[in-house]
Amino acid sequence: MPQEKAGKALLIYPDLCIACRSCQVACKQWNNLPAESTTNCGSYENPAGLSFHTYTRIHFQERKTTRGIQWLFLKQQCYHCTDAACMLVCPSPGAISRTDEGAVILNPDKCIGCKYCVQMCPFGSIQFDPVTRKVSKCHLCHDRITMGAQPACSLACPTGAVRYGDRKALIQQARLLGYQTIYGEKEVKGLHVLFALHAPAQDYGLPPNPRVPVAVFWWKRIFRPLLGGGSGIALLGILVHFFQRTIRSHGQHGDPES
Amino acid sequence: MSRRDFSSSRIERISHWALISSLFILLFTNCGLLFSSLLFIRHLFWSSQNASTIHHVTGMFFSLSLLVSFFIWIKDCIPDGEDLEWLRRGGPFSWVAAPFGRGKFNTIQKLYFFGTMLFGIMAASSGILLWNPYLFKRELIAWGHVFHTFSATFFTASGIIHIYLRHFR
Repeated sequence: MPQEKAGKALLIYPDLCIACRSCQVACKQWNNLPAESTTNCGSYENPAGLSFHTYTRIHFQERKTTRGIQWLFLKQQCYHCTDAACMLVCPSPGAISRTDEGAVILNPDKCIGCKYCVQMCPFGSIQFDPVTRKVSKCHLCHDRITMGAQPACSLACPTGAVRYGDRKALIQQARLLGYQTIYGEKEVKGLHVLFALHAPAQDYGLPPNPRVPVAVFWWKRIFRPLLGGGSGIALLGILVHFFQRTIRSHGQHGDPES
Repeated sequence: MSRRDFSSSRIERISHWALISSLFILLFTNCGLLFSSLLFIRHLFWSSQNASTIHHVTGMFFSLSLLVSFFIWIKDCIPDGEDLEWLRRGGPFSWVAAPFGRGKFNTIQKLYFFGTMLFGIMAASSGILLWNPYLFKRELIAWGHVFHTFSATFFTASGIIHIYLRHFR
């Protein structure tokens, strides 16, 4: 089982986020992603969801308080789980891998478009494109990280709501600032995109207990080998039966003196 | 399993071959998703994505031929007293020579028919769960994979034995 690694991470302070969406624009610019035509759906959030061409976006969550309606802003993207369901279920070797920094990255050339990762991601962060029939997601700007730079979104954030650095140091820093809930510290054996929260995670639209479905274990560790083993046993059985019958038949029709 | 010579009607032969051909296509288009060493087979369909499309379409064809097969053979596969007696005496595990059913099919063939129907329904219904990643809950889709793989195990293993007993025994 994957163990929690220190590595690098993004730590997001939703309290500091003003939903300017600089991170969205910076991500699009760095990754050379096209703009999308969207429609007004009665909310200030735009686009309405992550897509093949939108690796990150700010989700607007409304919450009723004693002072009226409050907006909570959540940066949606791939959260780079340590126990990444996408990596567990991907059938194409090399299509999804982990960098030394802890980022889970995709190799589009090796993606076969099976959508298993889309199905199993606990955060719905991986997007399938029906045109290219491949998937895409945030790669934590691993190309920038390897050059010694920080991810485009954290660089563009004007309020310091998105911070990049050593994972352990970021968590310590948030604790010193008085944040008791660090979402992603333990979830899915540790995320590489963390949230320093004052409100419960559900209020932001984050799943309270994200995990790899139990059935994935049964599927990958029990029934998949059973398919190979079952077919092998069936083949072995018919071979044994065939040779047994052949030997018996030779014994009956062979030389009576022998 | 005893071999019996019986005449099959045209619709029976068409239905049987529809099941066989669809099962082979289903197996070849998706075995690479379970065993990465067989992934190259998917690329024989020009691209892996095409293999998925062929798998989906063939899945519908398989479900239809399964339904037709059910109505064609159900009347010949209802167990009679002799089948039940043979099973009661231990079935294939019994060393005592036990009677087989007197109808068109013997007891094991009848069992194979019901196994095919049961696992066919399992394969078809779990296949629907896997069709679109956004339609159903994640946990349900994951269980869909478990049951889809389990039904594939039945069809692959029993198919090998079925072909051997019918043609090479």
